[in-house]
Amino acid sequence: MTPTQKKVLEWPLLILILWLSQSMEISLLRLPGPLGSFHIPPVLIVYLALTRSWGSLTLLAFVFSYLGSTSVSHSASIYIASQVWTALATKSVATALALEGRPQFTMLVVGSHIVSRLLTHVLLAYLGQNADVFSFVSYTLIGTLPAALLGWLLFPLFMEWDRYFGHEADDSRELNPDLIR
Amino acid sequence: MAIGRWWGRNRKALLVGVLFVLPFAPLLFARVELPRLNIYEKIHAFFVHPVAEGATNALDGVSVLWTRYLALVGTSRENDALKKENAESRRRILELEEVDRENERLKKLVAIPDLEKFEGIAGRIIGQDAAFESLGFYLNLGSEEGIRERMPVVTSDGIVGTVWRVYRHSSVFLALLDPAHDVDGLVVRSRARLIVEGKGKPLLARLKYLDRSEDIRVGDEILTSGLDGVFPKGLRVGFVVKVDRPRAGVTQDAELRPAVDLGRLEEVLVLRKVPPVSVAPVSGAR
Repeated sequence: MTPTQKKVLEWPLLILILWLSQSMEISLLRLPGPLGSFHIPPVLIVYLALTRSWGSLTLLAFVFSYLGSTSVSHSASIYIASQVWTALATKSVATALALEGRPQFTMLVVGSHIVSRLLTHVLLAYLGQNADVFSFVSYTLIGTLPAALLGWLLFPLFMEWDRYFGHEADDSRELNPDLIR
Repeated sequence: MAIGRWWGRNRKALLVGVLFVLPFAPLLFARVELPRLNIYEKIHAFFVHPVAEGATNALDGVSVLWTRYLALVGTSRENDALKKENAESRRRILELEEVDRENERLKKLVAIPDLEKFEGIAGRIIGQDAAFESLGFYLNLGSEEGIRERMPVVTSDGIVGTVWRVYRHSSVFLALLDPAHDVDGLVVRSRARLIVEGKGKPLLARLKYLDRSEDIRVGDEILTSGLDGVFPKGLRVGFVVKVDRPRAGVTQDAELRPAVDLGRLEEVLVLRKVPPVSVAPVSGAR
């Protein structure tokens, strides 16, 4: 497949995979009890925070959080805002601490999960719809488990995707892609 | 010149600052009532919800195979118990039919207009919200099946939630425990009125605007009052599990455990209003 064909194919394929994963995350990928479900767009956004420049990260975080907002029932505006802020905060941390690699990525996914939950909780309070604090703290901590698992599993797939679609050559990364293993 | 130098030094920091301010933009729409279903949402529902339904059905198929064919221990004992329960239920239905007929006669005598009547549309749960902050369930019924926004969703145990978004062949309803969901209720024993509001994912909901002087105790049953314009009167909401009277203030706090176990939802009924039939008073009635 030529690079041009790959460029044409990438976005439709990405949306198809996102839709398929969203079908699964509202049905099969739900975990028992209060563990919630495997929600893929936030993990993808953390990967973008590690590998993309500030400008393209902001744009892609808006796009992916908009696509992901259809599988949550609270305000889409709040979901999008909290995901974009989390992406930017994650990039700040990753850049400052020069984080790279699979274990660091998993830790970033956990950290960004906590930050995005905190932001969502505060923003929902603005609409008068926040759950109580005990619920927020307990479910945030419980939710770190599926988030970490998803981060660990998806990291090699994201890297393979980038390599196949030639993003290493396209993007002026701020981190050294050769060190990402 | 100085501005140019300052810009050159601080350009990157300023750009990052602007990027952090950008997420305020969607928040401007958080309180604006935009048309709920945009084209992307419709396309998304068209492709995603049938796949989710297929996946849920496949999972249920495996579960049915296990429970119906592989784990039959105790079925005979359970069958005997159900037969007894069935006989008792039939006797109770006969009694209630008699009460119903008597009630109809009395209503005609005093010319009380009928309460709003509802009919149920049975549906299956095909999925659940992916977020922690909200508690929405996906249903395999949509506008083509007669579902509209704000229709009540119930099971035989009590109320479950309210329809929130409707697509062509699927819909989303917010459960009773979602923080954005409110129900107008009343205490069966004392007839005190209150609002039942979700608390998020925990198993409890909170009771709001409950006057301090009202008599409410742990174990009290809460029913719908029918005054919120959504739920018909008299459906079970849940039971009071905690009452807290603060030293100051005009209200008291209480918590409620819903009558329906939301963790085990499979089938639900969506209630649709049946157009009212006016009742003419019996001639000569006083």
